[in-house]
Amino acid sequence: MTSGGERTRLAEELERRLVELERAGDEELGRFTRWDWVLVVLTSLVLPYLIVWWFA
Amino acid sequence: MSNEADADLDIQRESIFGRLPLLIGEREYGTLGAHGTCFAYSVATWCFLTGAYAAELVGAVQGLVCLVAGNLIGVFLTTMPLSLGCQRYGLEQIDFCKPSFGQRGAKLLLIFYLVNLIGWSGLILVMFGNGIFNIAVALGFAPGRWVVGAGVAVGLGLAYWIAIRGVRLLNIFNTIIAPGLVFLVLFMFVMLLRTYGWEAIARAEPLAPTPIPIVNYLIALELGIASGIAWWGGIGFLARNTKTRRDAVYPELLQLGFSAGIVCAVALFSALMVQSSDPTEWMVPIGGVFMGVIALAFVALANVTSTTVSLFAGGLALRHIPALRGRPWWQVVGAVALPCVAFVFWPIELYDLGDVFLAYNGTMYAPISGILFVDFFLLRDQKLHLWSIFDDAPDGEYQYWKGFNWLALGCVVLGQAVYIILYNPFSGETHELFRFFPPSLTACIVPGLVYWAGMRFLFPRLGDEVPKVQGRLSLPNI
Repeated sequence: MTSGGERTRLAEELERRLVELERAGDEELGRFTRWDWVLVVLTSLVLPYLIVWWFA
Repeated sequence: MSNEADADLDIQRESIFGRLPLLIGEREYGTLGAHGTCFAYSVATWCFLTGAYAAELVGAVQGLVCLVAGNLIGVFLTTMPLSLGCQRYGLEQIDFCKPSFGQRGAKLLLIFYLVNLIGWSGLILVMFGNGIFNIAVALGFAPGRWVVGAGVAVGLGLAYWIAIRGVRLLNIFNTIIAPGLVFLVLFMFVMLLRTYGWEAIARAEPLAPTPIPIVNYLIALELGIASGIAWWGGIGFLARNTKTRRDAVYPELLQLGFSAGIVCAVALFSALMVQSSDPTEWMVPIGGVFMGVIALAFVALANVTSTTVSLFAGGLALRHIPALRGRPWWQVVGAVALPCVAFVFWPIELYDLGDVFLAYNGTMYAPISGILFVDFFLLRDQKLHLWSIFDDAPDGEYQYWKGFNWLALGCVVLGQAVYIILYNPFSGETHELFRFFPPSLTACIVPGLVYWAGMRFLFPRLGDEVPKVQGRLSLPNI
C-alpha cells in the first residue's frame, strides 16, 4: 500500500467507510440505553464505593 | 478481475492490520467472543502482581473489597469513553484520542501507549518463562534460570506468530483458553480453601503493612483502581472489534473489572498463605503436581493471549507513524516485539520493576481517562467529526494549535502532579489529603474538570451539531 495509485484507492475506501459509519445507527451498532447507564454506574461506581466505605 | 480481487484483499488486510475504521460486518467479537477474550486478557501477570502487592498491606477481606471494587471503578472510568467511542466509529485507540488531544498531540500519547504495551508484554512473558521453569521443577528436572529467558523467547515467538495472523486466530485461541482459565481460578480457590480453610485465610496478617491501618487500606484500594485504569492500553482494540455497544461495554466491566478483581483476590489469598508473589511458584504446592502443571500451562497460554493483544494493538498504533504506514504487518508487529527481546536477557531484573511500572500507569492513564470521559460524553455528546480524524488539513476540526491541544496535554501533566502530591508511588509517601481523596480518582476528576472548563471557555460552540461532510478528504492521513 505504498504507491500513489494504491494510496488513492485506500483513501477512496476510507471515504466510503466514513460515509457508511456515519450513517450507521442503533439498528446496526446496538443500543446502549439510559437503563444501561443506570446499571453500569450503580454496579461499577456507586456500589463499589459504598462497599469500600463500609469496610473502611 | 484478478486485480480487483487483489485490491479487495489489500483493503481487507488494511482494515484488519491497519487504521481503516472497521465496518460492522468485519468485526470479530460477538458476546461470547468478547467475554472470552476479555477474560483471557484479564487473567494475566498484573492481576497476580497486584494481588501480591496488596497482600503486603491488607488482609484477605479488606484486600478482596479493595481489589474488586477498585478494579471495577478503574475500569469504569477508563472503559466508558473508549469502548463506546471506538465501537461506534470502528476506530483504533489513538485515532479516538485525536478529538481531545489534537492530530499531533494524540501521537505524543502513542509513546506512552507503546511503553505501556511493551512493558506489560515483557512482564507477562517473564511470567510465561517462570511458568515453564516451574513446570520443569515440578516434573523433577533441575533447570537453570536460563530457562526463564528461553521461555520469554518462546512466548514472544508464539504471540508474534498469532498476532501476524489476525484477530480470528486470537478469537479461536481464546475460545479454548478461556473456559480452562475459569476452571483454573475456581480450582485454585477451592484448593486454597481446602488446604487452609477460609478462617485461616481471613485471619492471615498482611506481609509488610505500614503502621497506619487506614493508609494500608487506601493504598490497597489505590492498587485496585490503578490496576483497573491500567487496562487503558487494550480497551480500544477490543471495543473496535465488537459488534454491538453492549458487547463493547459489559464484557470489559465484567471481565476486566470484576473477574480481574477476583483473580487479584485469589492471588492475594495465595500470597498471604504461601508468602509468594509469583503464582507460578504457588500453583504446584497448592494444586499438586498434576493439576499444578496443568494450571501453570493454562496461565502460560493466557499470558501468550495477553501478549498477542498487546502486540496487535501496538502494531495498529504504529500505523500512525508515516514511515510504518505502508510496511507489511509482520514488520510492524516485529517493531513492537523487538524491544521485548530485552526481557529474554534480563528477565528477573525487569520483572522486579513491575510495581514501579504499575504506579507509572496509574499516574499516566488516570488523567487521560478523565479527559477522554469529559470530552466524549460531556463536551461532544458522543458525536465525533469522523472525517477530521483522518484528515491532516490545517483547518481540520481537531488541529487546535498546529495539531496539539495544549490544554489537554497540560491537564495530563496536572493530573500526574495531583497524583504524585497525594501519593508518591515510587517513595510510598502520602499527603494528609490522601485519606479523603483517592489519588487515581482525583487525578482523573481534577484534570477532567479543568479540561471541561477550559474547552468551554476556548471553544464555546463545541458539542453543537457536528457537520456531516459527504465530500472528500483533502489530506488523508491513512
